Amino acid sequence: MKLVVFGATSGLAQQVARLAASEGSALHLVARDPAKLSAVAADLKVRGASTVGTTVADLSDLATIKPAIDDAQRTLGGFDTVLVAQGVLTDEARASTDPGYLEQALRLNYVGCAFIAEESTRRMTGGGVVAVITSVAGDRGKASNPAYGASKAALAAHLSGLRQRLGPGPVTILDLRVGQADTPMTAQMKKGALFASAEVVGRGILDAIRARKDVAYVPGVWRPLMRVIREIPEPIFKRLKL
Amino acid sequence: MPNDATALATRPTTTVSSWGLSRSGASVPVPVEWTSDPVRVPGGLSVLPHGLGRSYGDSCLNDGGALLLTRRLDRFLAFDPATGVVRAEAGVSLHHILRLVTPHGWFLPVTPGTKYVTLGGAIANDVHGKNHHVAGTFGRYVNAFELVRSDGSRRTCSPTENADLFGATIGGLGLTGLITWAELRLKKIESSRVYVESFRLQNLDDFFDRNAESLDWEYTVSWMDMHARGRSLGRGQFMRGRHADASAGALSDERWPDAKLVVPFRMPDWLVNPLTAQAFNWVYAHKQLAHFSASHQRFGPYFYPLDFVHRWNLAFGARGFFQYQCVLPPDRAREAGRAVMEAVAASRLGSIIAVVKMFGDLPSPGWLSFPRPGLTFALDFLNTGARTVALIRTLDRIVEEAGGALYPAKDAFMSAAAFQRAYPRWKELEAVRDPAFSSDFWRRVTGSPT
Repeated sequence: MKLVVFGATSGLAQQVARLAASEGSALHLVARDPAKLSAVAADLKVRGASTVGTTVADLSDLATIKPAIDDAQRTLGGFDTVLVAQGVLTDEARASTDPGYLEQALRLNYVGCAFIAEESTRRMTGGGVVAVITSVAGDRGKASNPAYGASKAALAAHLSGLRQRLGPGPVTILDLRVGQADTPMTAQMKKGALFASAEVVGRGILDAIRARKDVAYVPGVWRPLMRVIREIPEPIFKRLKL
Repeated sequence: MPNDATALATRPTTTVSSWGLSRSGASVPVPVEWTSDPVRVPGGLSVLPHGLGRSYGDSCLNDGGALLLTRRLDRFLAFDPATGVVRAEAGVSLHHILRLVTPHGWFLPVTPGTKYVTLGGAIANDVHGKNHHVAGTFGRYVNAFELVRSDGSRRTCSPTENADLFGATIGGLGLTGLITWAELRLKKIESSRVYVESFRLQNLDDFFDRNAESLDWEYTVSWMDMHARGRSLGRGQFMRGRHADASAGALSDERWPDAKLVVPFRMPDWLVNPLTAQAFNWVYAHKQLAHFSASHQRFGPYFYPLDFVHRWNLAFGARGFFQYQCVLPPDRAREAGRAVMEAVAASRLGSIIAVVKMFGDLPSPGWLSFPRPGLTFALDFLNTGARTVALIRTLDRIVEEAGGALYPAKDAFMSAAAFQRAYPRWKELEAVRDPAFSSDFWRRVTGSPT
């Protein structure tokens, strides 16, 4: 695999990258913090990656995206898999009162991710998989995270459109609807029974990439769960505390 | 201060149990993810690093304080397959180190009975294994580590740099600061098999004879039937092993799979009681053990038999169990060893297996290292309440009287006096302890308030 990872220092990205590295894949990593990025890169080298390139970039600055992809293309001599894993779990109270913050969160969680998907597709002339981590939170907006859910819903809709525009062909657009995962992003949340370990989710993501799925719920139990959630009539849904 | 109720009331805490499930503490979890993270001390609380929580007593607990959780500090920094030197973050488990290095012909120079301990934990407890008599403890193979303290300082510690902190941290139970990464020298191996010879032991004297003729074997260990008395006291099995050569099994054979069997919940007490344990032990001792047998064994069954069952500690019932490990000096080993075994047999408290070994005399660089020359017993007892405690106190007296020591990683009862006598350098450790770091164990055995 020739894999480009955006948001490479995130919990899930590290798990997927480790699995890819242990098979001897070549990787290019993009993240914001140089020290963390270099720690992840060193780890992946030791675990067996044939090549590990890095680009330091703050992906909420959209101008950094094309140069990062150029770097990846140079390091890997072309790539066949992209994992888009950057994102921030929005501070919902702040998003409700501060439109500038809301916009910034949307830029990182939706705009940047969508643009990476678009640009990668243009570069992957040999085919491959563009895998984008969205969330079950995007399936239906709920009280606890409307802003986060909205950004992921926007991303999922965009991926769906991109997928249809491309039609059947060598490039697969994979929408990874990840459920609750036990990673540093959710460190402050109380962990219920549905939380899955980062390792389990990482493995699920890699399996979905290999199987070239279009939309994958990871772990799979979320597919039937979200179908139920989506079907609840609004007069009832609005009374629930989710 | 750790028992400040108001400080805790405003922060979410988790109840963490140690491996024996008989001790637990409520602590604020503080995940550590990057070596560049500073030590975050929640205001007014003490902190303690916590890896995979395999210690049995209270050395890995900090009730009323905070735990620095190192599970995500699990990256490799470097590994040289030509020299067998590996550098990894402190939260990397020995399991994952083995997975990485054995295909290249390297093994842990010293390994405890489980591979599910972190590199940091192995250093903090200066763990030992079946090869102590020829190899010494884990700390002897640590080239260096980085220690980060609550004052923001970061020091690389080695035998020649910050040597005081190096010696204090090995076996130092996490009290000198947080180890962020460590470098380890591995041992060269040729195959995925260990050649093992087993002998039936008639009694304790048999053990000493057999041990004396096996001193040049890399690995030696015995188990003994703790219900045998009289002339059969100490009957069991003596096993000696060495890494086999390449023809016995290819290195690539060994994949180190994760444990599949899981004990899903705590067994009810009525299922696991002293009678059941005695029955098991009786059957084990009376099956027709061959006087001698030899075989090639794979790493898993030889080094880590209990790791096959994930969470095996749950099989001991709701009240959990106590692990007890002591060492008895060589000149008192025979008589004190006999006294220990007779006390356990008389109590009928169902220690299932006693693991027994003679330690060697290779010194550790750690100030508070447990292994020292003599006979070591590792026992476990169901926690049946007052009778178990009474037995443990009896054993403590035997150990104390013989001038022996107890292992902090397994201890739940050691008195402050016994600890301070067996570990005279504790005062030096206290002098360099990070003032923000503390544990239930340390407070118990030193009487220090934080």
